[in-house]
Amino acid sequence: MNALNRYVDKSFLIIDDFAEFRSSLKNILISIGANDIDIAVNADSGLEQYQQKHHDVVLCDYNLGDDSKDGQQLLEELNYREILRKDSIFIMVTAENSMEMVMGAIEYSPDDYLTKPFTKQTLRTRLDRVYQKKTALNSVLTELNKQKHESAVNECNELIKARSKYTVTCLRIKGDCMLRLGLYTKAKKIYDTVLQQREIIWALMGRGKSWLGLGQYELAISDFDKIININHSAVSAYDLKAEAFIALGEKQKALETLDQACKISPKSISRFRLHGDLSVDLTQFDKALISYKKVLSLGKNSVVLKEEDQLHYFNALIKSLATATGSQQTKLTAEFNQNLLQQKKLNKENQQFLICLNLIKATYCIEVDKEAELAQTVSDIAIQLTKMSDSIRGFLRDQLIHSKSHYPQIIESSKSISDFCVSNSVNENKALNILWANEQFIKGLKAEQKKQNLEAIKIISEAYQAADFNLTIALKLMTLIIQEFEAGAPADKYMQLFEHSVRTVKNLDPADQRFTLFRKHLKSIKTILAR
Amino acid sequence: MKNQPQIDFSTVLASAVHDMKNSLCMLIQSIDHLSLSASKHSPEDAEDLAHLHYEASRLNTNLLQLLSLYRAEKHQLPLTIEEHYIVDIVEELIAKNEVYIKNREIKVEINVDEDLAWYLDMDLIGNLLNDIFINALRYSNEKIIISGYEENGKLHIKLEDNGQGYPESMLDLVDMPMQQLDLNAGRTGLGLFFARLISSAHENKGERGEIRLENGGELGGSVFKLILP
Repeated sequence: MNALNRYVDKSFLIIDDFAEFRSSLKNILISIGANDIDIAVNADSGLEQYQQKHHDVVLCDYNLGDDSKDGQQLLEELNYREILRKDSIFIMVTAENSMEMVMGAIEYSPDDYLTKPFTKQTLRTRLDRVYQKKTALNSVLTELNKQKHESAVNECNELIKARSKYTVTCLRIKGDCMLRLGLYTKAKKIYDTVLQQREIIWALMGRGKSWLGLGQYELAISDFDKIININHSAVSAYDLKAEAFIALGEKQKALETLDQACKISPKSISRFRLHGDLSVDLTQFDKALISYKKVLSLGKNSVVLKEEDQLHYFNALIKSLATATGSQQTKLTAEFNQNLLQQKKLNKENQQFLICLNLIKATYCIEVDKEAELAQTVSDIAIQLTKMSDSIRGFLRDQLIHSKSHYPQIIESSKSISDFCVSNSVNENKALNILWANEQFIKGLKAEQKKQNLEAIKIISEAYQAADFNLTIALKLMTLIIQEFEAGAPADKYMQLFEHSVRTVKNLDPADQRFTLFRKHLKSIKTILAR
Repeated sequence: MKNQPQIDFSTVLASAVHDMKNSLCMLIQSIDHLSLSASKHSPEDAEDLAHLHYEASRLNTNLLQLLSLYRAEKHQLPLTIEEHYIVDIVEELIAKNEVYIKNREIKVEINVDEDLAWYLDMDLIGNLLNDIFINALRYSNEKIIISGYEENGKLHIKLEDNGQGYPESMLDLVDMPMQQLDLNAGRTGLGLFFARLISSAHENKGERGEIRLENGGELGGSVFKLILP
């Protein structure tokens, strides 16, 4: 089939915020034979149109204006929401000055990049090439579209056996599938093969993730460092490096790593959340305040904001306010009062959140020595808690734990509040024992290897108790529990443990491969509960 | 002047270059569009447009080089090393200059094994080769050979033409230490400087890429060689 005919019956989607570029790109497409061309002026409209029509080719500009997601964010969203068909061609169009940012995104790379300006000949050769590749990989992509990672691996093996031109791509896909299946030893083996030849960023990234999954945090950090050394803007390497440091209990180093990541890419809500939490743990409240403010402003008018975000902001604000002096203190106090009032107005219907706001107010009264007001607020809280009809939500529990750990007088001064805490098992944060947990985890993996599943669950759940923030441990625990359930264990046996691990993993970025595994586990547990 | 804020001239220049590239982008696309209709009606116009296109792409290549050099100086030149088929790179090189090649009736011979693949940064190597290719197009007498092969575990890409060959002064440039290169010596200086920078940024297991210039070869003109580990 000649190249002119090839694109006649294909559908195209152009996403660009500049009218001139849109029309000139459209002209180029027409000149290579395209008929069916749709146009979107921003990321949201692009997403909507693609969702309806699943275009064969998407040409998306990286920079879509200040008010829109950028092209990379759009690509990620299309991917993790499982909208993007693997056989669609996604080409990112970049301006020279955005190349660096684009290259920083190692996950979810588009099928190709085109740097402006390009001629129609360049576009056509690139399209032809991607088209050929997608055709050759069709059997693999079909399985990926169905989220069947095991079969995708098999199809990759077939192609590798047949000495396909796209063997390296097959290895990359295989590695990614293994990560999604949680098979870290196998994934590492694949990446090792590639890395023996040469230090390629995606392979380093994959191996680093495998090390994370195997609980080998130092080795993971060393791979992430290699990536950062090659590409300073590889922002996901910083994020994972920070995660590895946290797993090792090195919070200061984690915070420093995230500092850099936030500078490179200041748009991620989850990164600022973590940055804020770490700053609080390290009692750097001014820094925490800045991060939480950033979370609130980035999440403004969107559904991603949670009650916790507002509460964390208030907690950090009170701490900063208490240590500030002079005009700075006046300023922060005004900010506090204004926002507290506003939040009360905005959340009139949210009973449990209003209780939290009162807990916040009580905290504030303690910090600035307002005793009369404190007594009044505490008695308000007591009344609100006794009136509460629904079961306790996560954010209220967290805020109560916060009070109990740092301002115990709030809880102790009222019998109804302390009773409430007892009956809802609101306990202070447990002391963690991170290094011991990591050792246990490795022991647990060994037991798993020997197929001693029950022993593995026992050891790893102990590890989890000692480091209940650790994603690697929580996810492994979930995997083992699901296996036990599927082997016939009674549904209630590990349910509480499973629910706890869900709490640890639930904030995982959907763009992370581990999210696939997490989601699969949630689906399995639903089936198990239904039987 | 002591209290004047320091202006980093290279940064100002880089952002100006970026603006220029945007305009140039529109310009090139308009030329493309025009030549499509001109080729049907008026051969003379088509020839003028082909020339216009050639000069505009040269300008674009220069601006790209400037930006890359600026990044290199600011240590912001990240390489994206991936496996690429050499034949794809060569095909794209030809596609980029298709209008001019057709118009000047230059014969380009390609000697690259279909299966030859290498790890490199496609954009940077593409730009590097494009600059050399554009010069070859200009100085050759209608014939160019592009070959690619593996030798001693390294990739060799060779561009030969049947023109006058490189002047003596340029042959020396390649062996000179980078710092001593005189960029005032003419535009060829910048192109070669860029080529050396990009090739040596390609590193594998302690070895770096390099470029070589010779005269003679199969066509008796200039021979440009890019060698990557």
